[in-house]
Amino acid sequence: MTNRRRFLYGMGAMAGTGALAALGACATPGDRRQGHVVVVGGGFAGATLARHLRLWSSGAVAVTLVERNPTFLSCPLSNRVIGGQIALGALTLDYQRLYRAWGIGIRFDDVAGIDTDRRRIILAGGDALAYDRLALAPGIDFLPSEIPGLAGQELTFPHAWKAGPQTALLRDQIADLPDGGVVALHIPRAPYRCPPGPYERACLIADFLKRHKSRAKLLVLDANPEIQSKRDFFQHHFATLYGGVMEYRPNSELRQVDAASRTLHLDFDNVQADVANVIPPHRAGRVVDLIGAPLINKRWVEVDWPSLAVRGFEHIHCLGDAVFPAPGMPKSAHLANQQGKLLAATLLQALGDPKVLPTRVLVNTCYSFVDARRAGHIATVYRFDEGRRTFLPVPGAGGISAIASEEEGRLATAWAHNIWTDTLG
Amino acid sequence: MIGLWRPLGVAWCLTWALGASSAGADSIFAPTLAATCTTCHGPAGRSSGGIPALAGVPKARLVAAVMEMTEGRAKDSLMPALLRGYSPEEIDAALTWFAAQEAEAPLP
Repeated sequence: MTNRRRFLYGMGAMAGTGALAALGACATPGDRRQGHVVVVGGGFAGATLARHLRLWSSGAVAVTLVERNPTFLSCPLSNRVIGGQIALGALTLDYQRLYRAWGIGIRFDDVAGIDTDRRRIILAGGDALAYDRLALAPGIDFLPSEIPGLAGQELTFPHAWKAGPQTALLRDQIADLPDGGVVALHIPRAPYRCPPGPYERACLIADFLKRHKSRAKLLVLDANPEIQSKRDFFQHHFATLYGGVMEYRPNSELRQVDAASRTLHLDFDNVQADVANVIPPHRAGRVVDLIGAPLINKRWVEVDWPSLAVRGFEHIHCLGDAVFPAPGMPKSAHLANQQGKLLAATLLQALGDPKVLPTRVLVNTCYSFVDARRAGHIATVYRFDEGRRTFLPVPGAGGISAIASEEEGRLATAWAHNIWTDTLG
Repeated sequence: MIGLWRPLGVAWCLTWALGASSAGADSIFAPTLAATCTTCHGPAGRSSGGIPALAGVPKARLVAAVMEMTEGRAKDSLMPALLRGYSPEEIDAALTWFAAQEAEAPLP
């Protein structure tokens, strides 16, 4: 009975019928309650953290996950939806196993407030959740107001940079493009989520145009001076596969947009497009503003490595795309998953389980498709540097594919399925 | 890089042959170390396909696969590059851990 009562505390956060189902089927809680961790954000970072806290504490740590969306939508592979290779449904997963198999309480809600003194968060629905440790994994929010004319126009200028309805919208707009039409893709200044993602998207849109709209053109307007990831790899495939259909323009920062004419204003040029995929600049998810978290460049949360503690806040941690990264560390699903595990071990130590040692290694792997079947990778290993108190890339440990292959295309899909399971259980 | 790595491959063989692979074990905790691999290889190394499963694979087979990669005999280019980021002791600990896992996930 004692165990059950303790476990109910962890479950107390759970909503609706899922809670009843979970209580019947959940993993056995450990023999003592070691604390309660509230995780805000159920993406690759937050969900991985929640699951590994339960796994490595054998259920002794209660975990509540607060997530505003009822389903999990994977950004990895979502460019393939835009390219017409797969359906959005293939990227839509649910949170069931996190509560049924792992006994994680889930609240599908927004966060309205965080009371750092009393260590509790207040949900938009009105409930308060007490925490011993709070982990913020909110991903990114967009800054459309940085580009005059863009705010409120995401149906005319879809970003499709968070998978979901926007992904389907961009796919449909491209499918409806008149042959001979122009698609523009705008890439914001780095850092942004998924550095190779826009270039993969350029390839898959160009591949679609080549096959279905042979007179159409893709204009890639990059605010950056050069391709931001897998540069030689993408340069090669842009030139060899899409020379006739795609034009890549570096140093093309968007200054203003006009929704009525779907015009993109650059420094020395205006582009009128039939489809305009504008990825706005972004920042850490705004929930971090509820604690007044210190932001670097007014955008990214300053954390201490390897604890991922928000600078100046003893019991609050931040992970995933929202953090100001360690040197050379991209905002990727793979690293979000890896940071989830790093923080899980760190929190278990802090909550009194000295045997769970955090690793000092983080890995990134990212595949990019260049057409319907072929992909290539970038991979890096990072190790914690005690002197510099940060993670640094290990020289020579990693690399980039020279040429895309069908074998790597199969690996890319296999990677997605395994990271989904590793994240969601 | 393979040229630089080859002597390390030999170092492992020596490490294993001499039974000295517990060196540095105090700072290695196999479950969190192995978890750096499971993002690709699936939870506890139970891959759903396409990428090799590691869970429950006899350690000798895992070691042979790693040696093939570190000696440049594997056609894969990604894994040999990632292995360069780990020490021989870490690789040994991770392989031991994966070999000890159940190949099939127990029902919740």
